[in-house]
Amino acid sequence: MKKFIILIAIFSACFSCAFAEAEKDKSLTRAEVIDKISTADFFKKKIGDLLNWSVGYDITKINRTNLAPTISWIRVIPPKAPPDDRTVVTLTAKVSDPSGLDNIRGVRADLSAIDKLPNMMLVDTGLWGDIKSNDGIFTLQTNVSYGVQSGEKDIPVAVANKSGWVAIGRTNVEVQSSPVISDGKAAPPSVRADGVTEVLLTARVENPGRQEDLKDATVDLTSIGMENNVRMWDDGSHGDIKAGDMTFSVSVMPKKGTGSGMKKLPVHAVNIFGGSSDGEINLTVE
Amino acid sequence: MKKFILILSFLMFSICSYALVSDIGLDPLDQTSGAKPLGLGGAFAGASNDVNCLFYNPASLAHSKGIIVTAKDIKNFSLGVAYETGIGNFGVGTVYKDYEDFIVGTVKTKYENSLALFSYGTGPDWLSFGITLKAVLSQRLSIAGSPDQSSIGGNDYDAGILWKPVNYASIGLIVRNAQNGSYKLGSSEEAFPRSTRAGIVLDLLGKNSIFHSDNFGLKAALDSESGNAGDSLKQNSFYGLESSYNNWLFVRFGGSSIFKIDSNVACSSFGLGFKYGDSEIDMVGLKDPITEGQISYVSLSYSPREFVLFRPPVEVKTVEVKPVVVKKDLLRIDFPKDDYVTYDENIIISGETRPKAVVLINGVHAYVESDGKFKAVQPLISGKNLIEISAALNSETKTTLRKVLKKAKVIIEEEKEVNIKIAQEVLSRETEITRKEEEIKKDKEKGVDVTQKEKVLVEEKTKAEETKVKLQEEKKKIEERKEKVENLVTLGVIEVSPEAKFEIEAPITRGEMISWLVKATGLAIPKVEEAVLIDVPKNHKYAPYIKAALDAGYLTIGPDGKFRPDDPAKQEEGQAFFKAFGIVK
Repeated sequence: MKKFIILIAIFSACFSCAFAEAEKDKSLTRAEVIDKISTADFFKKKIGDLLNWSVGYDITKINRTNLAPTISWIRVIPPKAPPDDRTVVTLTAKVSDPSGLDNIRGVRADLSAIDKLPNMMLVDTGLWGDIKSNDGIFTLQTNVSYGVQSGEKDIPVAVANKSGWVAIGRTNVEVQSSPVISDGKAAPPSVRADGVTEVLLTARVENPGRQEDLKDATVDLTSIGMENNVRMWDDGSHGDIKAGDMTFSVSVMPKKGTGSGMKKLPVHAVNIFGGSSDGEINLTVE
Repeated sequence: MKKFILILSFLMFSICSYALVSDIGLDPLDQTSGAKPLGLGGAFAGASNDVNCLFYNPASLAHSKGIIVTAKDIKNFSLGVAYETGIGNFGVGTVYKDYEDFIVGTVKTKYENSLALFSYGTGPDWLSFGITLKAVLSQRLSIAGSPDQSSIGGNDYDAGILWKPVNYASIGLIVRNAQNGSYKLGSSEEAFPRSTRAGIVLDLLGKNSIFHSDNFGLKAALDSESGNAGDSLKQNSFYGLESSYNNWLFVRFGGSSIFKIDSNVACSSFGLGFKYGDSEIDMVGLKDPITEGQISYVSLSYSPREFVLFRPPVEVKTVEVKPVVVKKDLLRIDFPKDDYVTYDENIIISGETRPKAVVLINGVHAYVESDGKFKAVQPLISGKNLIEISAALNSETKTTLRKVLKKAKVIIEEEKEVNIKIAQEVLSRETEITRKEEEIKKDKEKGVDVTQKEKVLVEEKTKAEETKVKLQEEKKKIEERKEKVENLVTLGVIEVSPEAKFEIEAPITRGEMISWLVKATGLAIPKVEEAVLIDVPKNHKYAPYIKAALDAGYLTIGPDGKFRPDDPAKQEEGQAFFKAFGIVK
């Protein structure tokens, strides 16, 4: 009996050791780790803070990530337009959206500055002036109403997406009714008035809207003994070097007997909607 | 007094030297008409509130309106209509008279005439004024043995005043043919006989009368007229009484003394009237002062309370009352409510502002519909989110903050398994038990012994209940753990993508455990530029966390220089890590 008890004791001890070793070798589960971490005092405090509505809601918790669309650029062609209710002004805007172009709800422009509707839609359908459909370039064709005062007109453009966000951009169109005369030159700048020597008179005349709507550009040559209202050309003739470059030219020969000195030759330009402007070309007569 | 009036009349009125019509006592512009006035003997200058006034005192027209038709026969009739206009009352009328075969001296005479009149009366109740413009449409005088004299045209006017000093009395004064204009009849030129007529009407008995009575009424009327009649001066008098019952039955007696040629003719009249609503019919029988024969007239009249031709635009003083506009809140957030918990990656913020207002959500423009409503999808970060919504319109701004807790959504694989088990073992068993119960019930009804079946069923029920309890406890335990996992994921300790399944009972690797402990304790995560240990290359998933633990002195590496990050963490190792990180003491 004594031997039996000793055997039992030895067996139990061996079993206990083996069991302990097995326990040591047993892997921890995620659940056990989670339980341990969750019961740690410092972590309980963190959880408490997480569920506390009066702690931690500061400016750093504002998520600045947004799903708003973007406007890459906005263009107006032509950048200058007359208030004639006729000259086509094309407004284009390149837009994109984090969720793709299908998420674009609409692109609209406020044209109230040029006396049009404040909520005009730009399209990306390949129609109505839009060159290619679904390329993210939205287009609107309009014109400037009669009576709009000259000056730069602000045109806000807004794009909204289906997620409820809006991006706003702006561009401007310069409303101008009169042509602009610049760079009045004589080549050569000084010439003998002998009725033989030629001089090329040039001036840059830029018309708002379409250049072809420029009706006439003339120069008054009476101070060099010639006619009034001599037409200047931009068709490659009459001394004009390049056609259609907005530089109007005329080749003239100052009349014999013209007094020497600086002559200011008035240049006058007029367009089809009645706008006109004046400039001058300086020519020295030897 | 009589002498005074005569002298006054004599001084006032010029007298034509010779007159065919006036001498007889006729007046081509005599418009007096109506069964009611004639029933009162013609005493109507002081009357008011009666459409018959159109043919008497124009001043009384200020208080009279309606339509009246009076006729003796097809040649003797009158028509009149009087309207309210808001600036006084206007009336138009026409009168046709035909006196056939009356004797002037010894000569049989016939006279017929027609006239048109336009009358206007205005003024307050107590004092009114009026004028009647009259024009002869035609007249013809036939004297036996002489050629007929006829003419067209000729006009004059009457002017009148009506004064009501008290409720029961009204006094009228009319100057008839005040212009004393002339007309041609044949070769002779005659003047319209001008006369002045004064009258008074007294309400003797009635509701607003001298003597009060609710049912009966009595009126007395008296007129006196003086003027010229060709070469002569005329003096006419008219008087009458009207008694009424309940304002629908009227009886009238009248008398008059009227100038004819060079003396006055006494006439009497008797009239009856019936009123129904705004309509009235009046009849009169009288002695005609010209023909001196008995004649009778019938009048039909309609005098509604409102008989308006037009009303001039009334200048209404418009007090600018600013409309009470319930000013809409500049910003109202419909969703989310404050302190909102969600598992979603995005939240739809919706609300309403005023049209044309600008709404910014976390500094980004939200699209506002034309009616002011907005709805925008806002991405959330894990954990606490502060959402700042502001609206601006002109100089007004309003900002609202919303606190949103975005908890991590974790799919626990074991939870799914438990749910399947509950569905399979508990629910299917319950269905089976129900089926068996119905079977036993049917057997019982058939008288079959079901004792054994019932015994088995009870055992099955017990087993099913035990399984159910066991599974529910298991589920509850998993849910509790799930909440812990969610908190740990939310705090960034555990990284689990939303779609990934998380096996909570799976063994944890040493590397994963260190990563959890480093994140839980908030150690700074260093940048790993080279291998941390022999078996922890720099691109190892847990390299930064192992480095952080090593740098913090929480890990000691054995002589082999290895950490074995991908080996499962043993109990003993885990306890050592817990101790090192201060999770357990």
